Amino acid sequence: MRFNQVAFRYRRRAPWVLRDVTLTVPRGRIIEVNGRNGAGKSTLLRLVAGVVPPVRGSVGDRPPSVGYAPERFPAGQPFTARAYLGHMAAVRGVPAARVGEWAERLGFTGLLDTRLPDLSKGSAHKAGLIQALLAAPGLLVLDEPFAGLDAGTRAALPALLAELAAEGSSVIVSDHQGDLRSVPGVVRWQVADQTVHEGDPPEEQTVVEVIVARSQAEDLVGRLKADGYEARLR
Amino acid sequence: MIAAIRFQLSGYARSTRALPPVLALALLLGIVFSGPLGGTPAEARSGALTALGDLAALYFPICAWAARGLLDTEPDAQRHIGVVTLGRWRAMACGFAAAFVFNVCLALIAGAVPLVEAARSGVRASQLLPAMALLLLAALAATALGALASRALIPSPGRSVLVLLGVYVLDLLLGLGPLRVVTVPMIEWMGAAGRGPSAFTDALPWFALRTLAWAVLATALYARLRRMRA
Repeated sequence: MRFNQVAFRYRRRAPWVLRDVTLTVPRGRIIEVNGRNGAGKSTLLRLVAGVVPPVRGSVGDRPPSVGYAPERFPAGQPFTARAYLGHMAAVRGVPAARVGEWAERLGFTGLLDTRLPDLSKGSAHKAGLIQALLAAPGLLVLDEPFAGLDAGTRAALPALLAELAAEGSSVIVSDHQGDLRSVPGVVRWQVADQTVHEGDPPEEQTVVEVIVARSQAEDLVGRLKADGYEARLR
Repeated sequence: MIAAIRFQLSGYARSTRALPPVLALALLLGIVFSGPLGGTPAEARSGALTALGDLAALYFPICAWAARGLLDTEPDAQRHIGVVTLGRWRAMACGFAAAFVFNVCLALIAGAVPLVEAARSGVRASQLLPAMALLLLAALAATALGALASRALIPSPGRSVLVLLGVYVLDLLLGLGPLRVVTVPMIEWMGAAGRGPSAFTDALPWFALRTLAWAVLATALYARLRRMRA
């Protein structure tokens, strides 16, 4: 899947949220999307999932089966979790038994007969994850999937995502809390300045003062520069 | 797609949003049929067709309101999930189809009494079926208006109601003047129904064509505006 010169804003004459985004979504990898609040992470995920089309540029080769869990699960719907997920399974054309399988994996079985509006925030979030996982998606887009989850599910989710990636899915996750740090091979995208940078964000710089005899100062500065540090004599 | 339509209809039926349009229709039917349609068989025939003509115009805003309510029952984030799951066009088509199916049910309820009365009093099926088709076309045009006023296009509930009622009132007003050719011909078909069965039946094809054209254009506009919206 590929973004080519993608730009997006929500309304005409509104400020651009993203501009000139050109990137490739690698297959079979987990991508962690970072960035400060309001940087455009959720917008990027919506563009990836296909919730909104780009205003400029193009998005190509999106896998046919996409799972998407929004940041806030829409719990204000007049269904029990079982009825809702049963409907979603039918819409996706997968057997209803798949609901029970994923519910068991995410520790949700006991809540299947609870009405959606009565679910706690974390439990509603699990319902959102289950509906996204139902159809073995080739592309899985999860907006803040760790928020509100209980400790057990939170610890188990990275391994589950790694399993899906190993099976060939592209898994794109926005994450504030670094829950994917333990997973090897995670690709990192940084959303900042209306665009997306691939790779880890540059580490914060600091200044270390070294007091040394004047006769040794030039020699030390030379050695530090040779080691790749920025050093100067004052 | 059928599963998605069933999902939206099920959500609407389970919510309280479905009730107000149904109650409004019940009230309208109560007023229209508060007395007998006619004493003699000839009067009953005439009364039944007049009622069908009046109903198609009067239940138009109720159907538009119901369509808007059905589409707005789905929370925004669920609509986003639907777009991802089904694709933009199929998700939009499913919502529209679900609203139209609900409005077809309203049309059948609205048309039941005059249809039964007309059949009992000896009106031929060839006269009844076009009148019923007009009810369904009015439901289609009303569905398109409801969709245009839905939250996906107009997030503010106040503005949405204004647009829905404004278009209905504008349609009625334009229907009185020279621009009536661009309207859903509600005023005209109420007038034709009042002039008697033959005038109504003769005018039906022209009314039906204009209503269908209006519905197609409004649906195309809805599809175009939804193209760039989540």
